[in-house]
Amino acid sequence: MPLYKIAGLYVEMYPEFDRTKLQAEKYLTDDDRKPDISIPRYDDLIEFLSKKDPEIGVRYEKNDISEYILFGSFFNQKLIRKDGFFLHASCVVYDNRAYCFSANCGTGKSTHTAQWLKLFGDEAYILNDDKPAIRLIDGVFYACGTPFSGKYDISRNEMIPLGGICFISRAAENSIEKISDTQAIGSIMPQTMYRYLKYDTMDILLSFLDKLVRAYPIYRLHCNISTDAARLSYETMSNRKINTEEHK
Amino acid sequence: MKIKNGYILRKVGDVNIVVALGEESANFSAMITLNDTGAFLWRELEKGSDEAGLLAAIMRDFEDVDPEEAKKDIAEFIGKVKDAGLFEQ
Repeated sequence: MPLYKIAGLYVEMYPEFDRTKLQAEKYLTDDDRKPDISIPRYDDLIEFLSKKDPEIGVRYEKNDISEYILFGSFFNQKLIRKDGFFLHASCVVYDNRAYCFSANCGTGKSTHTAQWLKLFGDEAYILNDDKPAIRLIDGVFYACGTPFSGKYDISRNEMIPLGGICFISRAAENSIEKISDTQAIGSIMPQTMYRYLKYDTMDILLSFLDKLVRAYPIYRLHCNISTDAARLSYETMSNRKINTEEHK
Repeated sequence: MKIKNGYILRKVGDVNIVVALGEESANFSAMITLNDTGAFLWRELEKGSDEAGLLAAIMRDFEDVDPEEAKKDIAEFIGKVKDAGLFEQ
Protein backbone atom coordinates (compact mmCIF):
# COMPACT_ATOMS: atom_id res chain seq x y z
CA MET A 1 0.00 0.00 0.00
CA PRO A 2 1.54 3.37 -1.02
CA LEU A 3 1.64 5.43 2.15
CA TYR A 4 2.46 9.13 2.33
CA LYS A 5 3.09 11.36 5.30
CA ILE A 6 1.57 14.75 4.55
CA ALA A 7 1.24 17.53 7.13
CA GLY A 8 1.91 14.98 9.87
CA LEU A 9 -0.88 12.69 8.65
CA TYR A 10 -0.52 9.23 7.15
CA VAL A 11 -2.30 9.23 3.81
CA GLU A 12 -3.07 6.20 1.69
CA MET A 13 -3.54 7.10 -1.97
CA TYR A 14 -2.94 5.68 -5.42
CA PRO A 15 -2.21 8.54 -7.82
CA GLU A 16 -2.22 7.38 -11.44
CA PHE A 17 -1.19 10.56 -13.22
CA ASP A 18 2.11 12.38 -13.14
CA ARG A 19 1.22 15.62 -11.48
CA THR A 20 -0.08 14.15 -8.23
CA LYS A 21 2.30 11.21 -8.40
CA LEU A 22 5.46 13.30 -8.85
CA GLN A 23 4.48 16.09 -6.47
CA ALA A 24 3.61 13.52 -3.81
CA GLU A 25 6.81 11.52 -4.27
CA LYS A 26 8.79 13.23 -1.57
CA TYR A 27 6.01 12.52 0.92
CA LEU A 28 6.26 8.73 0.51
CA THR A 29 7.07 6.92 3.74
CA ASP A 30 8.13 3.41 4.73
CA ASP A 31 6.56 3.76 8.18
CA ASP A 32 4.34 0.83 9.03
CA ARG A 33 1.26 2.74 10.13
CA LYS A 34 -2.47 2.72 9.69
CA PRO A 35 -3.54 5.60 7.42
CA ASP A 36 -5.27 8.62 9.00
CA ILE A 37 -6.75 9.41 5.60
CA SER A 38 -7.52 7.07 2.72
CA ILE A 39 -8.12 8.66 -0.65
CA PRO A 40 -10.02 6.18 -2.85
CA ARG A 41 -8.56 5.12 -6.18
CA TYR A 42 -9.49 7.62 -8.90
CA ASP A 43 -12.33 5.58 -10.44
CA ASP A 44 -13.78 4.84 -7.00
CA LEU A 45 -13.48 8.49 -6.01
CA ILE A 46 -15.40 9.61 -9.10
CA GLU A 47 -18.08 7.02 -8.38
CA PHE A 48 -18.26 8.08 -4.72
CA LEU A 49 -18.54 11.79 -5.59
CA SER A 50 -21.05 11.15 -8.37
CA LYS A 51 -23.50 9.81 -5.82
CA LYS A 52 -23.56 13.29 -4.28
CA ASP A 53 -23.35 15.20 -7.55
CA PRO A 54 -24.19 13.35 -10.79
CA GLU A 55 -22.48 16.09 -12.81
CA ILE A 56 -19.09 15.32 -11.29
CA GLY A 57 -18.24 12.56 -13.75
CA VAL A 58 -18.95 14.97 -16.58
CA ARG A 59 -17.02 17.89 -15.13
CA TYR A 60 -13.98 15.81 -14.26
CA GLU A 61 -12.84 13.64 -17.11
CA LYS A 62 -10.21 11.17 -16.14
CA ASN A 63 -6.98 13.11 -16.55
CA ASP A 64 -3.99 14.58 -14.79
CA ILE A 65 -5.46 17.89 -13.67
CA SER A 66 -8.79 16.39 -12.56
CA GLU A 67 -7.02 13.86 -10.40
CA TYR A 68 -4.94 16.61 -8.81
CA ILE A 69 -8.01 18.77 -8.07
CA LEU A 70 -10.19 15.94 -6.77
CA PHE A 71 -7.46 14.41 -4.59
CA GLY A 72 -6.72 17.86 -3.20
CA SER A 73 -10.33 18.61 -2.43
CA PHE A 74 -10.92 15.16 -0.86
CA PHE A 75 -7.75 15.58 1.23
CA ASN A 76 -8.93 19.05 2.33
CA GLN A 77 -12.23 17.70 3.68
CA LYS A 78 -10.41 15.05 5.71
CA LEU A 79 -7.75 17.55 6.79
CA ILE A 80 -10.45 19.75 8.35
CA ARG A 81 -11.47 16.81 10.51
CA LYS A 82 -7.84 16.50 11.68
CA ASP A 83 -7.54 20.08 12.95
CA GLY A 84 -6.28 21.63 9.76
CA PHE A 85 -7.15 23.45 6.56
CA PHE A 86 -5.58 24.63 3.31
CA LEU A 87 -4.78 28.31 3.04
CA HIS A 88 -4.23 29.67 -0.46
CA ALA A 89 -0.91 31.38 0.21
CA SER A 90 2.77 31.61 -0.50
CA CYS A 91 4.52 30.52 2.66
CA VAL A 92 8.09 31.56 3.45
CA VAL A 93 10.26 30.31 6.32
CA TYR A 94 12.84 32.36 8.17
CA ASP A 95 14.33 31.66 11.60
CA ASN A 96 12.20 28.51 11.92
CA ARG A 97 8.89 30.37 11.62
CA ALA A 98 6.51 30.11 8.67
CA TYR A 99 4.90 33.29 7.35
CA CYS A 100 1.90 32.91 5.03
CA PHE A 101 1.04 35.60 2.50
CA SER A 102 -2.39 35.18 1.00
CA ALA A 103 -4.37 36.97 -1.71
CA ASN A 104 -6.35 36.31 -4.86
CA CYS A 105 -4.41 34.90 -7.79
CA GLY A 106 -2.32 37.49 -9.58
CA THR A 107 -1.95 39.88 -6.63
CA GLY A 108 1.69 39.04 -6.00
CA LYS A 109 1.96 36.50 -3.16
CA SER A 110 5.00 34.80 -4.64
CA THR A 111 6.42 38.14 -5.72
CA HIS A 112 6.36 39.29 -2.10
CA THR A 113 7.88 36.10 -0.66
CA ALA A 114 10.58 36.37 -3.35
CA GLN A 115 11.54 39.68 -1.68
CA TRP A 116 12.08 37.74 1.54
CA LEU A 117 14.47 35.41 -0.27
CA LYS A 118 16.29 38.43 -1.64
CA LEU A 119 16.49 40.03 1.81
CA PHE A 120 17.48 36.95 3.80
CA GLY A 121 19.35 34.96 1.15
CA ASP A 122 19.99 31.33 2.03
CA GLU A 123 18.48 31.73 5.48
CA ALA A 124 14.95 31.87 4.04
CA TYR A 125 13.10 29.43 1.78
CA ILE A 126 9.64 28.77 0.40
CA LEU A 127 7.78 26.06 2.31
CA ASN A 128 4.86 25.98 -0.10
CA ASP A 129 3.97 28.39 -2.87
CA ASP A 130 0.25 27.71 -3.25
CA LYS A 131 -1.61 25.80 -0.56
CA PRO A 132 0.20 25.13 2.71
CA ALA A 133 -1.82 23.17 5.23
CA ILE A 134 -2.26 24.93 8.56
CA ARG A 135 -2.57 22.48 11.44
CA LEU A 136 -2.99 22.70 15.20
CA ILE A 137 -1.06 19.98 17.02
CA ASP A 138 -0.79 19.89 20.80
CA GLY A 139 -1.69 23.55 21.03
CA VAL A 140 0.85 24.71 18.41
CA PHE A 141 -0.11 25.98 14.94
CA TYR A 142 2.10 24.74 12.11
CA ALA A 143 2.35 25.51 8.41
CA CYS A 144 3.01 22.32 6.44
CA GLY A 145 4.19 21.54 2.96
CA THR A 146 1.78 19.45 0.86
CA PRO A 147 1.89 17.91 -2.62
CA PHE A 148 -0.87 20.37 -3.54
CA SER A 149 1.61 23.12 -4.14
CA GLY A 150 0.67 24.65 -7.47
CA LYS A 151 1.91 24.09 -10.95
CA TYR A 152 5.56 24.84 -10.21
CA ASP A 153 5.59 22.49 -7.20
CA ILE A 154 7.66 24.72 -4.95
CA SER A 155 7.27 22.83 -1.72
CA ARG A 156 9.14 21.10 1.06
CA ASN A 157 7.93 18.22 3.15
CA GLU A 158 8.26 20.05 6.47
CA MET A 159 6.13 21.32 9.32
CA ILE A 160 7.21 24.69 10.68
CA PRO A 161 5.64 26.62 13.57
CA LEU A 162 3.38 29.33 12.15
CA GLY A 163 4.84 32.83 12.41
CA GLY A 164 1.87 34.71 11.03
CA ILE A 165 -0.74 35.24 8.36
CA CYS A 166 -0.92 38.33 6.19
CA PHE A 167 -3.14 39.39 3.29
CA ILE A 168 -1.57 41.36 0.48
CA SER A 169 -2.71 44.29 -1.64
CA ARG A 170 -0.56 46.16 -4.11
CA ALA A 171 0.26 49.77 -3.34
CA ALA A 172 2.79 52.43 -4.27
CA GLU A 173 3.85 52.89 -0.65
CA ASN A 174 4.43 50.14 1.90
CA SER A 175 2.24 49.94 4.99
CA ILE A 176 0.93 47.18 7.22
CA GLU A 177 -1.87 46.98 9.76
CA LYS A 178 -3.54 44.45 11.99
CA ILE A 179 -7.07 43.86 10.69
CA SER A 180 -10.31 43.32 12.61
CA ASP A 181 -11.79 39.85 13.07
CA THR A 182 -14.52 40.78 10.58
CA GLN A 183 -11.92 41.68 7.95
CA ALA A 184 -9.82 38.63 8.87
CA ILE A 185 -12.69 36.19 8.38
CA GLY A 186 -13.79 37.98 5.23
CA SER A 187 -10.24 37.56 3.91
CA ILE A 188 -9.53 34.01 5.10
CA MET A 189 -12.72 32.28 3.95
CA PRO A 190 -12.35 33.01 0.22
CA GLN A 191 -8.76 31.68 0.42
CA THR A 192 -9.80 28.33 1.93
CA MET A 193 -11.58 25.50 0.15
CA TYR A 194 -14.89 25.99 1.94
CA ARG A 195 -17.34 25.31 -0.86
CA TYR A 196 -19.59 22.25 -0.72
CA LEU A 197 -18.75 21.40 2.89
CA LYS A 198 -21.41 19.66 4.93
CA TYR A 199 -22.65 20.98 8.26
CA ASP A 200 -20.32 18.94 10.50
CA THR A 201 -17.21 19.74 8.48
CA MET A 202 -18.01 23.46 8.27
CA ASP A 203 -18.68 23.50 12.00
CA ILE A 204 -15.20 22.08 12.64
CA LEU A 205 -13.56 24.49 10.16
CA LEU A 206 -15.20 27.54 11.75
CA SER A 207 -14.21 26.50 15.25
CA PHE A 208 -10.64 25.96 13.99
CA LEU A 209 -10.61 29.46 12.48
CA ASP A 210 -11.94 30.81 15.76
CA LYS A 211 -8.90 29.37 17.56
CA LEU A 212 -6.60 30.72 14.84
CA VAL A 213 -7.80 34.34 14.95
CA ARG A 214 -7.72 34.27 18.75
CA ALA A 215 -4.12 33.01 18.71
CA TYR A 216 -2.69 35.18 15.90
CA PRO A 217 -3.16 38.77 14.83
CA ILE A 218 -4.03 38.79 11.13
CA TYR A 219 -2.39 41.50 9.02
CA ARG A 220 -2.93 43.34 5.79
CA LEU A 221 0.14 44.50 3.91
CA HIS A 222 -0.08 47.16 1.23
CA CYS A 223 3.13 46.74 -0.69
CA ASN A 224 5.22 47.48 -3.71
CA ILE A 225 7.88 45.08 -5.00
CA SER A 226 10.91 45.74 -2.79
CA THR A 227 12.95 44.25 0.02
CA ASP A 228 11.65 47.17 2.13
CA ALA A 229 8.21 45.56 1.89
CA ALA A 230 9.68 42.25 3.11
CA ARG A 231 11.51 44.02 5.92
CA LEU A 232 8.26 45.72 7.02
CA SER A 233 6.17 42.53 6.97
CA TYR A 234 8.85 40.48 8.76
CA GLU A 235 9.53 43.04 11.47
CA THR A 236 5.83 43.59 12.15
CA MET A 237 4.76 39.95 12.14
CA SER A 238 7.74 38.65 14.12
CA ASN A 239 7.99 41.69 16.39
CA ARG A 240 11.76 41.67 15.82
CA LYS A 241 14.17 44.07 14.24
CA ILE A 242 16.42 43.03 11.39
CA ASN A 243 20.12 43.61 11.78
CA THR A 244 20.58 46.00 8.87
CA GLU A 245 24.30 45.31 8.62
CA GLU A 246 23.66 41.67 7.79
CA HIS A 247 20.60 42.12 5.58
CA LYS A 248 20.67 45.02 3.19
CA MET B 1 -40.37 34.42 6.45
CA LYS B 2 -38.21 31.37 6.69
CA ILE B 3 -34.47 31.06 6.26
CA LYS B 4 -33.38 28.66 3.53
CA ASN B 5 -31.83 25.39 4.53
CA GLY B 6 -28.12 24.98 4.17
CA TYR B 7 -26.62 27.77 6.29
CA ILE B 8 -24.61 27.72 9.46
CA LEU B 9 -24.14 30.54 11.98
CA ARG B 10 -21.02 30.46 14.14
CA LYS B 11 -18.92 32.88 16.12
CA VAL B 12 -15.33 33.25 14.91
CA GLY B 13 -13.26 35.63 17.02
CA ASP B 14 -15.66 38.46 17.77
CA VAL B 15 -17.63 37.96 14.54
CA ASN B 16 -20.91 36.19 13.94
CA ILE B 17 -20.62 34.64 10.52
CA VAL B 18 -23.21 32.91 8.34
CA VAL B 19 -21.81 30.53 5.74
CA ALA B 20 -23.50 28.47 3.04
CA LEU B 21 -23.21 24.69 3.09
CA GLY B 22 -23.20 21.93 0.47
CA GLU B 23 -25.14 22.69 -2.71
CA GLU B 24 -26.19 26.10 -1.45
CA SER B 25 -22.56 27.26 -1.43
CA ALA B 26 -22.53 27.08 -5.23
CA ASN B 27 -25.12 29.89 -5.40
CA PHE B 28 -24.00 31.97 -2.44
CA SER B 29 -20.63 33.40 -3.21
CA ALA B 30 -19.89 35.35 -0.06
CA MET B 31 -20.83 35.05 3.54
CA ILE B 32 -22.59 37.51 5.77
CA THR B 33 -21.55 38.79 9.16
CA LEU B 34 -24.04 39.77 11.84
CA ASN B 35 -23.74 41.81 15.01
CA ASP B 36 -24.78 40.11 18.26
CA THR B 37 -28.38 41.29 17.92
CA GLY B 38 -28.42 40.00 14.35
CA ALA B 39 -27.09 36.61 15.48
CA PHE B 40 -29.79 36.45 18.18
CA LEU B 41 -32.48 37.25 15.59
CA TRP B 42 -31.06 34.66 13.17
CA ARG B 43 -31.45 31.96 15.83
CA GLU B 44 -35.03 33.11 16.44
CA LEU B 45 -35.76 32.89 12.69
CA GLU B 46 -34.31 29.37 12.64
CA LYS B 47 -36.84 28.50 15.33
CA GLY B 48 -39.58 29.76 13.00
CA SER B 49 -40.33 33.20 14.45
CA ASP B 50 -42.02 35.85 12.31
CA GLU B 51 -41.52 39.60 12.62
CA ALA B 52 -43.79 39.92 15.64
CA GLY B 53 -42.05 36.95 17.20
CA LEU B 54 -38.65 38.61 16.72
CA LEU B 55 -39.82 41.76 18.49
CA ALA B 56 -41.31 39.73 21.32
CA ALA B 57 -38.09 37.77 21.69
CA ILE B 58 -35.96 40.91 21.89
CA MET B 59 -38.29 42.52 24.44
CA ARG B 60 -38.22 39.29 26.45
CA ASP B 61 -34.49 38.56 26.42
CA PHE B 62 -32.86 41.99 26.48
CA GLU B 63 -33.17 44.41 29.35
CA ASP B 64 -33.78 48.11 28.85
CA VAL B 65 -34.69 47.88 25.20
CA ASP B 66 -36.70 50.61 23.60
CA PRO B 67 -39.33 48.98 21.31
CA GLU B 68 -38.70 51.54 18.58
CA GLU B 69 -34.95 50.76 18.65
CA ALA B 70 -35.74 47.06 18.56
CA LYS B 71 -37.97 47.52 15.52
CA LYS B 72 -35.18 49.39 13.77
CA ASP B 73 -32.71 46.58 14.55
CA ILE B 74 -35.15 44.02 13.23
CA ALA B 75 -35.80 45.94 10.02
CA GLU B 76 -32.07 46.31 9.45
CA PHE B 77 -31.48 42.62 10.09
CA ILE B 78 -34.30 41.50 7.81
CA GLY B 79 -33.02 43.82 5.09
CA LYS B 80 -29.58 42.26 5.35
CA VAL B 81 -30.88 38.69 5.16
CA LYS B 82 -33.19 39.60 2.29
CA ASP B 83 -30.41 41.35 0.33
CA ALA B 84 -28.28 38.24 0.69
CA GLY B 85 -31.22 36.21 -0.69
CA LEU B 86 -31.36 33.88 2.29
CA PHE B 87 -35.14 33.80 2.75
CA GLU B 88 -37.11 30.99 1.19
CA GLN B 89 -39.08 32.23 -1.81
